[in-house]
Amino acid sequence: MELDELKIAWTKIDKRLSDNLKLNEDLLEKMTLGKSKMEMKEILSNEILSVVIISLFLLLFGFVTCRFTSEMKFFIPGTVLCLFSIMELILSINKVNDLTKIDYFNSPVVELQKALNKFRQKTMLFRKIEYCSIPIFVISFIPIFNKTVLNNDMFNKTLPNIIGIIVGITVGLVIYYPLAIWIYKIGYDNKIKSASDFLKELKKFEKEE
Amino acid sequence: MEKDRFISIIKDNQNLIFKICYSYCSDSENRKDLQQEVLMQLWNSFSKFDGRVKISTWIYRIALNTAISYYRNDNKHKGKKVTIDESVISLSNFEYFPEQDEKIVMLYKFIENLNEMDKALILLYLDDNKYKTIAEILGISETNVATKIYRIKKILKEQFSNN
Repeated sequence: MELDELKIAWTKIDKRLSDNLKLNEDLLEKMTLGKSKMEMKEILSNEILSVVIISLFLLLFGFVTCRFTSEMKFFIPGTVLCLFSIMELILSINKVNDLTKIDYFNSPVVELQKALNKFRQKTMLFRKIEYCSIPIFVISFIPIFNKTVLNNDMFNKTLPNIIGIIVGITVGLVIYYPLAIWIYKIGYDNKIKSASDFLKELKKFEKEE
Repeated sequence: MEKDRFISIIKDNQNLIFKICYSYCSDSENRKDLQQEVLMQLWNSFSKFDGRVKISTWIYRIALNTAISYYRNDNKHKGKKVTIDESVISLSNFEYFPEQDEKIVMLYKFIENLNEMDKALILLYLDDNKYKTIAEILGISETNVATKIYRIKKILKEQFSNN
């Protein structure tokens, strides 16, 4: 059987299809025409909102850190919080930049699929960076929060208390990292692999001549 | 006015939307969902359609892109956005998969086993699009289209002769 023969059969059935397909205009109106939301726009709006929120946090952390320039024990965690916010801001701006460049409506199939899968891959790698840096954020945030909100100097404690805090942090990290790695493996590893396999497929599809 | 024009365009091209959804989604429930997603994307981009390409090229691009993304994201796990009991585009009088039409049944089985991109290519070829149009929709060269179709023809011939 040749593909050209099948093409003839396909055309025949296509003719029958054209004669028998029915468009439910009421349903189309109700389900589609009345809506204007779109997945990519939703992601873009969320990312823009993230940029705004992170910028506000950066300003707040920057302001707090400036107050502690003479107290290194608070200045260092404050600086870490600022660096963490800057990192988050860069990641979010990067995502917004990528999303605004994607032309969902006019791009050919290969180009759009490549852009979407690169974006997916990048988003999941960013998530990995975030997973790794969350403990650093928490460790830095606790003394700053205690000092500025509760007016409690965590570093002004007795040695056993400080040892207790260090042990607590160590135990927390020992529990957190394996858990984070496990969550990441379950939630993201397969998705990253699938996106990267598809990108390879697309490259092959594009180049193969 | 815009809605009427859109409905008329969809009416004229409903069979290509139907075939793409049918080829990328074997489950009828998910197919309704995909069909809705395709129509939604078409509606969202309708105001941006500037007529630089043929209307069918525009529909193919959006429908194929949506179908491939849907297929790859496995949207059935995301939870449906809207529960719909009926399809926007449906068949009135006949079964699309007539058992007596063995050739078409076999062809659909063959298409089902192709990867997402080859599936798009073969659908465009079967719909009698010129190599230039296929290249334009997919974003690859015409030579590449010709080579790939030649390869698919070869595989198809082998498979059909084995059956």
